[in-house]
Amino acid sequence: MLASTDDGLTVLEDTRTRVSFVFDAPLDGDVVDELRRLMLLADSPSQIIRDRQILARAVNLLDHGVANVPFYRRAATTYDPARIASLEDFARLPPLRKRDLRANMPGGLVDDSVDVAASVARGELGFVMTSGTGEERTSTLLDLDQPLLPFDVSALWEVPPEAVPSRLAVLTTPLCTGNLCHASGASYEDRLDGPDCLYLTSTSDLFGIGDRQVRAIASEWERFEPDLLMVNPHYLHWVGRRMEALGLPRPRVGRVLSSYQYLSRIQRRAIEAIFGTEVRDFYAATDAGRMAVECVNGRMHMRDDLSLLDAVPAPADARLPAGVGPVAVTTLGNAVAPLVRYLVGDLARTGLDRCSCAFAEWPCIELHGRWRDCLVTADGVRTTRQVDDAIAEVPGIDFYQAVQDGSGAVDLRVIPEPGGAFDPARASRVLDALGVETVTVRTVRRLEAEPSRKLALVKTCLPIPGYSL
Amino acid sequence: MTASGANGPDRWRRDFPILARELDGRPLVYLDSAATSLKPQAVLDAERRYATDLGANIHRSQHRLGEDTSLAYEEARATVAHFLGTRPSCLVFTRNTTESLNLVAHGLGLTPADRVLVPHLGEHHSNLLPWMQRATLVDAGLDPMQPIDPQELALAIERHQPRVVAFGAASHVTGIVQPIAEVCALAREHGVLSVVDAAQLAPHAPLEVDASGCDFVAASGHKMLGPTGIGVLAGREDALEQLAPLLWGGGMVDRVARDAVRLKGLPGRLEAGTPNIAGALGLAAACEYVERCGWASIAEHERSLAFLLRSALEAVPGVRVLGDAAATRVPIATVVFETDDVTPFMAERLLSDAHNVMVRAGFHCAHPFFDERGFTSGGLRASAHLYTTADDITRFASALAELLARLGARTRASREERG
Repeated sequence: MLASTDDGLTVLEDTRTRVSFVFDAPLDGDVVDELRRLMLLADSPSQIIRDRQILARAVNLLDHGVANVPFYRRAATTYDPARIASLEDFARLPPLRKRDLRANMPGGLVDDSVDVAASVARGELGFVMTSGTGEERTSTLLDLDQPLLPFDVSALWEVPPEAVPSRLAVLTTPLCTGNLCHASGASYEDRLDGPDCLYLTSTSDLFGIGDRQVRAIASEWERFEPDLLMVNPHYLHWVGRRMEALGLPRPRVGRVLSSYQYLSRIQRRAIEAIFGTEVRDFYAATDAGRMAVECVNGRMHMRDDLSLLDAVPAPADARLPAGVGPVAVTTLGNAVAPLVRYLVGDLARTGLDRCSCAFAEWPCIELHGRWRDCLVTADGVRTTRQVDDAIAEVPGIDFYQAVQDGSGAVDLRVIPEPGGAFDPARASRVLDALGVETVTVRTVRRLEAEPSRKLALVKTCLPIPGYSL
Repeated sequence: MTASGANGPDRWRRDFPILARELDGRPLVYLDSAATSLKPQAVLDAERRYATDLGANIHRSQHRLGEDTSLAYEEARATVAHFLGTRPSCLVFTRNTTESLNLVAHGLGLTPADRVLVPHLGEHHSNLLPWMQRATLVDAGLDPMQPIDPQELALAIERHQPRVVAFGAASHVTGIVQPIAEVCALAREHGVLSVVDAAQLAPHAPLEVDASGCDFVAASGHKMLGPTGIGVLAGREDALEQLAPLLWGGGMVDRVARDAVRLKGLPGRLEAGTPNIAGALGLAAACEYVERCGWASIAEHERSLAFLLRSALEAVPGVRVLGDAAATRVPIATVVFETDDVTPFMAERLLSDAHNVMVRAGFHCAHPFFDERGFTSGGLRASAHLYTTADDITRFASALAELLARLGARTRASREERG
């Protein structure tokens, strides 16, 4: 993609990455006119440039898929790149479902010109497997060289280049693919992945970890001195509370990157207060790679460098909030096992106003949490985001979980904030306002994690209208 | 009547409700029976019967439900004992094979001065750890890829003078069946107690505990079409009488005084606490089910499965099938990959997701076996049962071959050739 400069041309690899060429002579006027007609010059609206770039990459991916990947080759008519003239056309391609991924990995969805074994052996590709069970379960092949953060993250977060994080510690869910991950049984040295990455992940149930383990996490965190801590926010929040209770000094970290589940406003607030650092949200999935990242303005931007996201129009019977639909991801950054409009299992709203940050061209997305983590009311489905926004307005809550039973009644389990004044009646009222007819509010000492050891903020036993992955 | 006829696998499969389950709209191929077998409807009904028709504890209450439950439990014991070729008084219900072997190791009062001889370190951890914890484990050094050579074992017994010889009746890794009666007779000749881990043989062949001459035989219900959490320890009466209880509590005693206790006779004195009553009923139903199917029909079917499993896997490029091909085997086979690039764990997951083939990857509770042979990624095990079909095995082998070909798995040798 091209954009003009006064003395030559600038090639935009994507809207964030520019390479300039200087020419001895001015460009031919006809060429400039044609570039302008095609809206490829820098004076063209940047959003149009972005859309064209993304479209070109998506079409290239289809070209590649139809030529090299059996699944798309078998459906070459459907995925014919010649039929795709716009992102709207692209968004009409059929979504790929988790069952498609299961049935076609690695037989159908991997580029059959690639020596997968050699790439795996070289550490370029890796099989990754979700910790989900049942219909959520998937495996796929990912490019392990995908950057954790986008190029020019210093602009995204408005930090000096020297402040861009390079030492990463990870404190996430303890389960790997249905089996206990035994990382915590290993030594500090064994849990180092190279010199700049440390896994603090524990095998233990979040709410059952003992004092010794809390001290060990604090000690290793201090020893490693990460400047970025990637976390399941529930885990860090709880560990932070335990450190407070034990009177431990909170280890220093430059910034917290919240991943692995929906980031509650309450969790964000608590983590920032406990650790005195800012939290940035990060949207990724084991089976789909990195999809969005939060900017300095607190808005989530699609990872144009790796993914194309769109929100599939919700089926009529889904009764989701207006504009919210299942997220479909196209893995622009994974040509070996490309996923085209893969339903990753989350809900989001797209088509939002542009952000004013340095990454304005990367569209914003409003995440609403997992599709299966909703409440079902007579007035429609309430997403995790809607529930969390409501509960976050109630003072004195540290942790919560809203669990809906088969009758539609919601049991709101709350761990109150230390020293906070929690008003159960107020919590009940905010759920009433969401259309929940029967609410019970209980204070508890622990919450129940999923089999994967993730902790859903919202759960329902009712069938979710229109749910289909 | 042939195994494939009216009483063959096609008929048997209809008795297993789970085989009607589809995943992503496709049927499943269950080849993990050595870990846990599937359960026929008769077993599910028997377990349910305890909850719906009986419901009481055993050997305690004299009310109607209590008596009905006690009667059903003892009838279950009689059924299982008959099935295993022993008397009810010589059959102790336990949780599983592991508990049975621990009961023996504990009950004999072994100390580090006692040697327990195993033929090799290819035994299941459950037949190593109980001995390692209490006695001195001695490895006879026999080849786990071959059936036990009684002459070699005799030499080892003479050399090490063990108090116990413990061995798996059928290998959970290779499926190789051991000469049980010969080994037990050999032990008896040398005045050594014999302990048979029959977890993998009991599902596939009649044990005839009394006729085998073995002192102790352990088995698990969940591998022989029964429920989980129920197992047995059977054996010679005078051997069982030597055992001190592993657990102490209610149900095992005739009388307790301030400073004395009088234990019940066998088997009750080894069954402290309320047992798994539903499990016992379910196990008895499993035994009855197998008898209705008929050992002859099952044996005919499983012989062909074992042969097919071996031959189908030997035809898959890039894998090595463990164990002597000429040995008598139950339908269990483990392969190791001749590549480092694809691991059995990866294959297990992908076979499940893409083909609905359920096999098991790992070290199969036999770490020393894999470690000593340098199989650092473990192996992939397929294990069949009477409900398995030839088509299941063909689908597995074909899927494995396709998977390895797709992943471009290269052998160590070929990789070196290609630089």
